[in-house]
Amino acid sequence: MHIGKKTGERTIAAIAGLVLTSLLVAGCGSAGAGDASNAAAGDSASVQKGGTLVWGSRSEPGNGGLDPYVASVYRSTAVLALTYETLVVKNDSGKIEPALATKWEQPDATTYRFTIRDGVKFSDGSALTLDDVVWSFKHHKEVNGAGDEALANLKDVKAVGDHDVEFTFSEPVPGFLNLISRRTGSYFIVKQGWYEKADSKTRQTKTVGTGPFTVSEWNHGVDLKLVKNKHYWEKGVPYLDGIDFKITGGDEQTLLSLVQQGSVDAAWFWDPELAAQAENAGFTKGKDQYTSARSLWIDPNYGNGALKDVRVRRAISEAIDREQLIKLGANGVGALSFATPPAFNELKKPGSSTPYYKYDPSDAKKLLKQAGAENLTISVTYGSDASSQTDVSILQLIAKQLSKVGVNLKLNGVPYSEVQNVFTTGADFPSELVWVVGTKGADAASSYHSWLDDSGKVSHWQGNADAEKAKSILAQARKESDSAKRAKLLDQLNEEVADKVLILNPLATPLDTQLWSSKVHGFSTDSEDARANLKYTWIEH
Amino acid sequence: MTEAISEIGETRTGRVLFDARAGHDGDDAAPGRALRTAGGPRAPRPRRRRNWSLWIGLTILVTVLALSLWANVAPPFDPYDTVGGRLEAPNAVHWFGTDNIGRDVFTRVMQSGLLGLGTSASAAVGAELIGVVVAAVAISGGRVVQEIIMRFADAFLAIPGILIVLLLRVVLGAGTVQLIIAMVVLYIPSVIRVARGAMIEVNNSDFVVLARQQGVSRARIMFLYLIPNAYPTLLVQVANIASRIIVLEAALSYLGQGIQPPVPSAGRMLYENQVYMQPAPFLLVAPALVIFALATGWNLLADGLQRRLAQRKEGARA
Repeated sequence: MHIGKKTGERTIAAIAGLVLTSLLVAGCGSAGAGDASNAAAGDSASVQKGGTLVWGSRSEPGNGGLDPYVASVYRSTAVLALTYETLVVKNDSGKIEPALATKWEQPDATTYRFTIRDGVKFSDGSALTLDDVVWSFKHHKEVNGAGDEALANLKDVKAVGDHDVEFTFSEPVPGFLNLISRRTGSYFIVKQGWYEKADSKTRQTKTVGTGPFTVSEWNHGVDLKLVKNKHYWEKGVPYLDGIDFKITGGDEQTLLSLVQQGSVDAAWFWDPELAAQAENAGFTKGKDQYTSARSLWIDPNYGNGALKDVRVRRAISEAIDREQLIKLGANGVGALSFATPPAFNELKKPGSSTPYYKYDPSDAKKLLKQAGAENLTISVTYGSDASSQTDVSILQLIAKQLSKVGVNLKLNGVPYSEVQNVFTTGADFPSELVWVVGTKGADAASSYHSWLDDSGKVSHWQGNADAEKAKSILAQARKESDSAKRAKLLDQLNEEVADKVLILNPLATPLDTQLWSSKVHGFSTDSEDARANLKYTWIEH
Repeated sequence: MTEAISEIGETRTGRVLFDARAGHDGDDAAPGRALRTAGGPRAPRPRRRRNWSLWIGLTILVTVLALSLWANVAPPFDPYDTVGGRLEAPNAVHWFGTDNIGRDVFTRVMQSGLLGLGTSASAAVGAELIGVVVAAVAISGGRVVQEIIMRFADAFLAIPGILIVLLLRVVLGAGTVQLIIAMVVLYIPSVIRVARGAMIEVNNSDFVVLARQQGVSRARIMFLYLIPNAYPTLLVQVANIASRIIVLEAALSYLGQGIQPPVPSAGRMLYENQVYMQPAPFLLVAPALVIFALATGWNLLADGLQRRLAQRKEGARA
């Protein structure tokens, strides 16, 4: 085929122009986006600024409200994650990234130095100072004392020069960066002057942080309104003028109705079935983040001590058909899990080779026979509140599965506060097993602390030879500063715990399912379900 | 000429029994119609209308009992096992469909019927037995004892029932037996009130006064005269309380504090299946029907018993 000279030149010019334009567009996209880049990058050209996003929520911040040092309920910390910021954050791959600190170094095993970002302002327009950073950590330690996971061994924290803050510890804290990077944690940077002057009510209902939004109004049980932080340090964001959390008083059916009526732009659901119905109503479902390990914690010494025998524990683990639990109990929204939920992307996930995870009722029967426990009766205590419906379905399935190998599992439903009491006070287990709905902690090693470590509040493995190797690996992991080596040790720990069945991990599920309408752009879920990407979100007007 | 003053009136010709409510209360007799004139010509015996409430109530309860017994003795499926797909609509195999974990809803609903009947009947009878004895003790024990018991019962009745049961559940723990005990405790004060009313009438009757004068012991009077003569009224109350227990148990199960899983309970099934209201409404219909049938059955039975009692009284007066 012959192409004329001019035509050929025009074609070459057009292709060159196209390539150049593509490169420019791609370049602009990567330059402006920073961390999250992400979600909004694809349609950044058509971003519509302004508007208020209406987010439906079953519940509102709980005990402690929005006080960053007191709040502990997930609903509280999820709002705090939008209004306060940490020095560093962890991305979805488990890598630590800058936030209020632009860089950091560890000159020696017990020292960390952070360089604080310039030009950061609180939502009231005042500048962030090094003193605020120093005070925030000192106050955190003061509030939590010896129980402070990251700061218990803190000797000193001080400003160094005009930009740096230095932490000195009495002994190495390898999980330090992990712990302080958690978006839904509590290591936020707070304005000292405001916090000290404010009374308790103000601290719990207002926010003065450096996050992309700040609380403007909270009508308890009705709505919680956030407005854009006009002084936010990251230029150009947030795109939204505000976010209104519409609260449905604990009722997810009402929330579903709001979704179906189009009265909310986005929503989060606890119940996977209702989330599926919201998806059917045309909402986009976010990527499921398996942050919640659903576990059976064991007290081997309870009653006649039947669970002291590793063969019995292995039999129970093998008698649990985890695939069925995921398919039916969790409506397909579940994953195999160790004590560390799968959302710890830096760790290996359980699979077919994981010891005693494969459903094998005939081997389970053999093990029970060997142990002389063919007609075993044990019980499990669980929170039977309205929000635990998925767990009740899962537990009923487990009870039936165990009955097939001759284990009679009695379900002992109690108000969740009673279960919580066991963990907060270290009270004795009310049964051989306790059903625990875990949330992904800041540091994978903390998933083991309370039930395996001898100093843990609910540890029942003291003096039990089956747990010695696991404890030793945990101790090594705690001391290991190198993140890759640490992850390897935790992988070993997970395998060892599965082999000795020191805890039963039937499955993991998302703690929440987040969904949004087609009007919402630039949003995606993050591995902590902190909705960190809301600052890059915009809505069609 | 007759004058319909009240249920019992006097005429110049003699004592006449009237049924001033006749015609409104299901009796064929016309209002004001003389039933029998003492000393005068014998009036024709009134034709009793069939006690439909009693028979319909009994039929409902017996039907639920029969189906429940069948589902318990020879269940079509294991009520605890996954025997079908998830949320299967009603079909030839699973008549009421399957729930979220693939269990047969028909089997579970029918089994829940027996549990509902058993729980309501045993709790109502338990409350009745204890309440009647306490009421009899109150009446026989003199004014002070009676005042103490009745004020205590009144105070108890002033507290919302569901709150009392929830508190008792915390103290007693979960479980069907514990639930029955909590229900018994809840309804004892109501029984005391009604039983006392019924027994006061008996206590003041001539034969009891005479027995007392002849030195018959309080305990003997209580067990030989007071309780047996009050029992028809109390029988009505048993059915009445049973119907209330059905509804209360359903409410408790709905709150997660009733019969504990995996034991099938209609209230709990409503609670568990509410999230499937849109994709699988049939999951709510079946347990709702069982609750409706049991509550209606007990209510109609109570109504029917009350009518039968009224008719017997009328008969006795005649």
